[in-house]
Amino acid sequence: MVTIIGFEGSANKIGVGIIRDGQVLANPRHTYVTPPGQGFMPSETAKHHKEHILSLTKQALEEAKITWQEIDAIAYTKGPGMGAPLLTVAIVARTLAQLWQKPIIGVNHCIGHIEMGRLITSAENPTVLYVSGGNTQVISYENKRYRIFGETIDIAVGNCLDRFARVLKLSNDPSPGFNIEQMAKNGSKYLELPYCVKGMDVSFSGLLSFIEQRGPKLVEQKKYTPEDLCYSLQETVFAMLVEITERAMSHCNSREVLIVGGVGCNLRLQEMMRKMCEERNAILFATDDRFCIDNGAMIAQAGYEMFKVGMVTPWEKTTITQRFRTDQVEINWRK
Amino acid sequence: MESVDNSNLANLSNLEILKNFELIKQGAEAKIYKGVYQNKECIIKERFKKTYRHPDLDKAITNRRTKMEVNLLQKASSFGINCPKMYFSEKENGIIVIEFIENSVTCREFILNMVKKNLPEEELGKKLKNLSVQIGKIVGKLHYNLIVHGDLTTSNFLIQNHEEEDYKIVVIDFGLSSKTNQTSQNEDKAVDLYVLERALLSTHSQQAELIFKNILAGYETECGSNKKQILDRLEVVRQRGRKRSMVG
Repeated sequence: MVTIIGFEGSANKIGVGIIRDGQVLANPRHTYVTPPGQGFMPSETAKHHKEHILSLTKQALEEAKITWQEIDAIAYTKGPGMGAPLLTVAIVARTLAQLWQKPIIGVNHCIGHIEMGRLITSAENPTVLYVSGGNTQVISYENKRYRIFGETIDIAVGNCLDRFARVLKLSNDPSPGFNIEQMAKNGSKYLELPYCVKGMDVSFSGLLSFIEQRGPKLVEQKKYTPEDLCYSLQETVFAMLVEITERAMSHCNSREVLIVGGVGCNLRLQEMMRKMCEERNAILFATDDRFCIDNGAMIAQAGYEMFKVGMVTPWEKTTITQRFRTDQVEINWRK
Repeated sequence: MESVDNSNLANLSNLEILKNFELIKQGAEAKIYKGVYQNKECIIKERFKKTYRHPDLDKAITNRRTKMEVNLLQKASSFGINCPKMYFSEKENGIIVIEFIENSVTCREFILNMVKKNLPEEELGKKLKNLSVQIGKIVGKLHYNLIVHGDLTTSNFLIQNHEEEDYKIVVIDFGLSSKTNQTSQNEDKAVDLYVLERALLSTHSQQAELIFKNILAGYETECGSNKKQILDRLEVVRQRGRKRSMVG
């Protein structure tokens, strides 16, 4: 029996999760929600995490009905992410590791998403679409690495959606992307937007400036409603994501797709991906907001895999890093 | 012969000139058939309807890409670049009919097979270098003529007469190609090179560095006078918005 506690705080969510042999015992989380029209800044986000991390840790232990003595190791997000929030969480993880005398494991955030997705869906060897506020990657496992076949060459898809939500002054509660998704359901008039796929890579910055500049005018002139714009934006960016995923699948002869990351809980994206999979005789694996959105259990799960193959982080390397690529980590726990 | 019930090929007005076509590959973008066109072996590429995307968007993408592909294949050919000859197209149905490149393998297989042979390192290096420089020259020539391929991977170069020393390299699949212009050319070309570099890293991770270095060496000899600007721009593209490695 191996029990791991995981700490995640690389962006605006702070989460503490406990995993025991593939079972999620607890996974409480708290989100830093900013006023409409505003993004989250590193220092305020770090402050938010500081306020909640200890009570979340207590809550996780209580929900899991275990004591700290039963924990085998502590996993925390080493990166990538925002510096100040990462640091806040790392300090707590390091302090607890010393206090409790437990090994500590620095986890790559993206790998946490992938391993959690694999655990929940039982996908064997999927092509992974990882889509969030900070990342957009198409990943496939090959020879001890999660290799990045396609990615954004500028901003992440979640960032594109969030920034358009700010233009429309949509609420950030529970998340800007969720509110765009709800608006899009009531949109029907399609506006053609720049569609930019380069090989297996995508670019969103041209599309974002286009809709940022023209969007408000089109609404003012009553040619399109904000709902129509949300609908058109989703249809366009998701079509790009499905296209590069399909390209990677065709390239790797893959029959499985796994969607992870915060944008991954968007049901329209899942529906489009499912249609593509049906056409190719492939299977879609997706999870809901509990595991798609950043959480502590995903860090615990990646930590669990690492712990089992002895990948414990030496004390002097328990640092953080804002930039940490998915393909940098040797995946010793997979064949 | 593959059933063509669900295909626009069944309605192809010039069907009688196409004979015995069979599906050989379902790519992400199109179905690829092999057939006979006016007594010549040919490849038929059909962009099929993607039900996951909005019908207007689907139509726009299919039309734009088919048009571009037809146009730029012909242009590239006129600039002396080895690529399949255009035989026939029905743009409104997303269908093109092009030359079949005989006795060829993809550059991807060619490299993978070469690596599998366990040649002495020096010999492998020499072979890869020779191949890469030639590929670089092709890309350079395309770029010199303001053609951006848009999907440069080792799967999109065919090696004809691959058993022989003096094989011929043919560039294929202009499905994501575009014509660039004076103002955005450095950026467009740099992104094109970047896509190729990324494809090499994911497909031939062990040899990627050697291959790309020599591709650039070949590229520089053909890409024209603004090679410095393009390569500087490549560096910018590499850094942009990516989670580059950093010692934390």
